[in-house]
Amino acid sequence: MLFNSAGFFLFMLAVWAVHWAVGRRSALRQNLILLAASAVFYGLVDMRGLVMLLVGAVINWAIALRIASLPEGRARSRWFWAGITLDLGLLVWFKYAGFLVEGLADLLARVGLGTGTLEILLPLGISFYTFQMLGYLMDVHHEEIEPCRDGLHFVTYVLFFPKMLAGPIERAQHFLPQIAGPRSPDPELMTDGLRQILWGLFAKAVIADNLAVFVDEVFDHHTTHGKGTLLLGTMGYLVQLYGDFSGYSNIALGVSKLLGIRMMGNFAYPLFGTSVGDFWRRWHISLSSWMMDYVFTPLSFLLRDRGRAGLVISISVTFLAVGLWHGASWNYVVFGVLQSAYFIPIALRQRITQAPVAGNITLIPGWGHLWRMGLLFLLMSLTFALLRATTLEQTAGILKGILTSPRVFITESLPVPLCLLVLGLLGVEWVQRGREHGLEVARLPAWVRRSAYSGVVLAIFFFGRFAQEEYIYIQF
Amino acid sequence: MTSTKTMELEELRGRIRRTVIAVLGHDRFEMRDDLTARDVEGWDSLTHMSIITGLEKEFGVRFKLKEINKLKNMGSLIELIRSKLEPT
Amino acid sequence: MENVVVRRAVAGDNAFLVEAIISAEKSNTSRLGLATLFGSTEEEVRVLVEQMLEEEVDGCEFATSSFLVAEVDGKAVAAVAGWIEGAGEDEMPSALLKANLIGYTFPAERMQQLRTNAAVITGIQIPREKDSLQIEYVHVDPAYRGKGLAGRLISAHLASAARATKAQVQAFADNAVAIGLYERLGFRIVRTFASSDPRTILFMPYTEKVLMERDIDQDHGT
Repeated sequence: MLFNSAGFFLFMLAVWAVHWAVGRRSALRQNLILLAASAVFYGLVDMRGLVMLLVGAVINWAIALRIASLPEGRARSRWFWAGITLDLGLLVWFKYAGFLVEGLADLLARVGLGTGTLEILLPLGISFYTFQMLGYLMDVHHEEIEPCRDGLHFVTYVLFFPKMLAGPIERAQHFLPQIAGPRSPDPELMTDGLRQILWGLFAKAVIADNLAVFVDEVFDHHTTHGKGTLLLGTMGYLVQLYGDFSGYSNIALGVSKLLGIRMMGNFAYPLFGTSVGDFWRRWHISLSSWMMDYVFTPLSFLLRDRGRAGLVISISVTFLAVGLWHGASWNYVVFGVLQSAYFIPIALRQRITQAPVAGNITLIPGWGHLWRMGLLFLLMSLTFALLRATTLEQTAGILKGILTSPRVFITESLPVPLCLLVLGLLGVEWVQRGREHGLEVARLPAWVRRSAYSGVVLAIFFFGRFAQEEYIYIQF
Repeated sequence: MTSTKTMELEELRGRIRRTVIAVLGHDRFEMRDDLTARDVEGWDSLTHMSIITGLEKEFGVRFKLKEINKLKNMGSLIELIRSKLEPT
Repeated sequence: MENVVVRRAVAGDNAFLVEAIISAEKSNTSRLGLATLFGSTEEEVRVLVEQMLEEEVDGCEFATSSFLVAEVDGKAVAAVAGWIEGAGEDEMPSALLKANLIGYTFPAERMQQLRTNAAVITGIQIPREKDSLQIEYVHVDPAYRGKGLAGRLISAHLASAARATKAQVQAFADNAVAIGLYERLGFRIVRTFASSDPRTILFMPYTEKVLMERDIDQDHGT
């Protein structure tokens, strides 16, 4: 059930109504309702995956309790590594076995021994829920948090449907306290949730899905397009990806607010970033902070005796992990390598925390600010093309085209209304960049609020595409 | 007894302070017990690691990640180093 | 408006003060810094704030004694906190008093969470000037807004600020209503504080704060 579908809308309405009407002042009832709804949400698509997920969640819950009950020593470590192996193993098996096997099959084929390719169906959301459970085990093992004693709470946390398909990768210590007690309906929170959903829908159905048509055309037929169109195509893809993913995240966060639960934000206006480090603190925050806390920090600590070399290795491994998290393809590997190449000079030369370029309240950015943003946008557009292109050859082809193609533009393929809408998205988000999401307008006068709502609703109505397009990030 | 302890504490603080200065390149901070990383310019996750390593070298001790993560402020850092230096 | 009584808050007002504090902290958003930074929930924070008020640590924002309350028909409907910074006998800065109170009251797990999240509030911690009057947690019940109650309470604080020659108040940079109110009361923006971490917006109501100041004329207290 994708978020931008009538089915989901009805589902959401039903869950909301039942949760607050029947759940009332009982945490147990509310959590059971959430769990049941999540199970239905998942089971409708992938019944076997649901069973595997439930079993996996219970096992992780039990292992965490075991770990916490043991003193430091071999037994405790053994349980810890058992849990890590299980979760990581599942992830590697489903996501990367094909890649590895293909690599192996490739190798064998070259030597003359052929094998069939391995087709493994990727369970829904596996990259997201395994990371949540891995993080949880690590936190319990490092005594960062107390293990969750209530199995129902833990399973509800893992299965919580708004974050199931494409994150955010919610940390246990942030989520569990919220379902430990009964939630009372907070009308302000729910209104904010609705606004956030509306904005997410705009970003997804109007911007991302319309851009997809243009971007697909450019990427799939890149040999026929001129340098200008190709460049616009790559930039369009970054915006499409942003609209798609941030739109999805906003809907997820908004739905969660309707149910009285606040999840961690996933985006902080990455297209307005001013440096590579800044970008990764704004883009897919739940993933980058996960990588930071669970890969970079322990690794850099382990390698701290190796000075700069240790730092370089830590950064490279972390970004490689980010790339590979997206999936099993050489494109993603190169993506990770490039990102670490961008970041290493920054890390070695200076601190990450820099003074802000301009406050979030200033409307007109200075030239320096604009320049930095533009440069970063260009760099990331070209790099993120790797995520879109199906093979390295295609990416190389596009880059070559941008540089060497004799033509510049094919103006028919440039959708002007779409460009205006994109500017609209960016404009609103620019003004609102100090706020949680584009439609956080509670503090503005009533007429501004109403115009904003009408504008967005009309845009969705007239330009929104609901042809069941996939969310790009669900495939990860 | 007390005077030696205070002297040791002062010496400890001094050495910690010098280590931090060496990494951050400035001395714009006080060695208060309630000092935290965010009170000091430039003390972020990257330099933090260098400071930790510097301290390990300075005092010849070894920290565990768990111990580092539980550090609240300068006071707990001083306490941690003290406990590591104490003969068992 | 008649039958408005302006008076010092007492322990019996604590429930209302908790509401005032939470509401002012959220500043018309869904993010309560005291909850988000600590990985806590608003419900839990309400309980903790009440506990902190009961500790009666004077000279900071979590003290009943700092608050002036406006009462209409016997019911507290507006509150503003004000204190002279560093006026206690140990001259403790209120930030330290606040930090100690929080460290003492909040559960250990919450403090651990703060350490993880602390980087995002670097930059919007505004230092308070010693011996100045600090105005904080300005709150008016929505049903009683637009009647000048906040202004009355702030003026009352200004009038009774014994030896202070300056008053300071902070506001989120996008809070036009609050900034307008303070400007009408004679405050001017002197500095802006912005967070250098873009993730601040996930935790706090806004990423920027302004510091506003005005002089206090000792003769008239206005």
